[in-house]
Amino acid sequence: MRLILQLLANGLVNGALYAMLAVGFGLVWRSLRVFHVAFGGLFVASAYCFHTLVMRVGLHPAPAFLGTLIFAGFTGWLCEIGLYRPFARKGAASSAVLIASLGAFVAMENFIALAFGNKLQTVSRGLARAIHIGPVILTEIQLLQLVVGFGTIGLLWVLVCHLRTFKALWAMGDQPELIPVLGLPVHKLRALVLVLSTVMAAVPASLICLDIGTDPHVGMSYLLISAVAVLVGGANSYAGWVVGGVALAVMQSLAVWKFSSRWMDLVTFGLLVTMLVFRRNGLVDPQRRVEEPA
Amino acid sequence: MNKGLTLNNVSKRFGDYWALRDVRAFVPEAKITAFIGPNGAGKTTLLHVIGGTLKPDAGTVKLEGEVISGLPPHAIARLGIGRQFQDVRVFKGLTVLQNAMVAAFPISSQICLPTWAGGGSESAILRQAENEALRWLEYVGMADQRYALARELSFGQQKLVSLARLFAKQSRILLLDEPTAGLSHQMIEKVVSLIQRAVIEQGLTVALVEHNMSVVADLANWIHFLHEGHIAFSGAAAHVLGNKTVREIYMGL
Repeated sequence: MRLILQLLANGLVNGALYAMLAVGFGLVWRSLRVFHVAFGGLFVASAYCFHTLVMRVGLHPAPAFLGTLIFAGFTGWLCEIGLYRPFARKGAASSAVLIASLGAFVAMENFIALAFGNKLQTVSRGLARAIHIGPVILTEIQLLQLVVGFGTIGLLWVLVCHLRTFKALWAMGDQPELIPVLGLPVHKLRALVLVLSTVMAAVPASLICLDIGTDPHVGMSYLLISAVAVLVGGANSYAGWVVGGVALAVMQSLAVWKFSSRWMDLVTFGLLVTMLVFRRNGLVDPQRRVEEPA
Repeated sequence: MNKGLTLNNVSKRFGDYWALRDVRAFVPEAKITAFIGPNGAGKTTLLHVIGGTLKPDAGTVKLEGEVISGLPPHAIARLGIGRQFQDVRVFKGLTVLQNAMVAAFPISSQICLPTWAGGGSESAILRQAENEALRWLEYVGMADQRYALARELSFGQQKLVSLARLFAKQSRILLLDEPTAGLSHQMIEKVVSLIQRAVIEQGLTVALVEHNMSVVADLANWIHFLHEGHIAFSGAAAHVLGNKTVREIYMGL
């Protein structure tokens, strides 16, 4: 029983990180209808920015974290104006945008490998203090990941519910060409989505780098986790992205109990295939008219 | 100063093909002006040029004397020119209420960061937009369906939602591309009545493209007949529809 609780706790910690990744990926999918493969590259770039600020510049992790968020916002904006906007202006097919995004991901991955080498880069820190919460033991960093992860998701959720900007973003996902017709600044909205999305990738990237380090080739793995979480949870719903991320992390964690951790990808894709076959719209389906009074 | 839209020698070319050639027309304020003509005559291209989706290769579009051609679509929309598309275009994943609300948001501070900090004012703006959206949904008879997702509506109901969205946006000039195409007889009557009411009660200016001649006869104060990209004939509705050349080219009579 104690083992299950521990695995569940580990799953929840990873769930907080996965949920942030899913929100970052889902925002772009929902608002821009772009399968944002470059998200994996932006994740790795953020992790390396954090690592550089701590290990080479010598900053404390807290200001390095803030610096990484600013860097991430800038790279996200750059990704929109340099990569996606020219395609949007030309009305390019989604397949062309997907290939371009994949190209940007590969370019970023290779550039980082060239600049920093292929080795795992870790952040030097003392042994993380273990904290006992009932029968469960979490490290300080895990606790930080849990609190920062769910805190960030909660904060963004409040903004999503209460700001008209997000209603305009959701509308943009349905009919982008109608947005300027309504007098809304479509390019500013698109840039805002990429900035927010990349910041949402930078938070887990920094926290994971602080915990276990990073290497140039982790981007694809986290991209797949983000995409699967979004598809499993429900591609059109914020709550779905969070539920998908947490469900995926908990299932991966529980799989370790019975199988080796080498089988985590099987769990990831098994869950995806099961959902696609039995519940195509994901766990949280917004078609249920959530606004309608009960 | 002319109150309304003025098109001065507007031309638009796609490769070697001139979709519009020296189009000169006036869309007077608080009246309904129809652009008619056979398929490929350039009617929808003309609406695209007025709405800013396409830039004219020559000529200008003026709103109350000010040149607006060349401005981006969102800037033209902010001047009070609203557009309804032939294929409706609603936000299908949003509810009917949200569809109208998005149009009712005040334009000046769409993503103004300082307003993010003031939660109170943001909620007040949202509440105000909701009330405004509801008002116009009631006006077009869609308030009962406000919690339905737009994709669940019939084509005709989606047209009504798109009209409510134009009204909620407080557009002064409506560009309507075949507002009655694909609608049942009852729905055509409803849409015609709503357009007439919009002009009489709200003083709106309407420029419409329409193939249904009885609708044009019911609605239009003035008609421009487009043929091969230029205006071949203009005049009062009865005059244009009764014209022998128009009947020959357009109706094959």
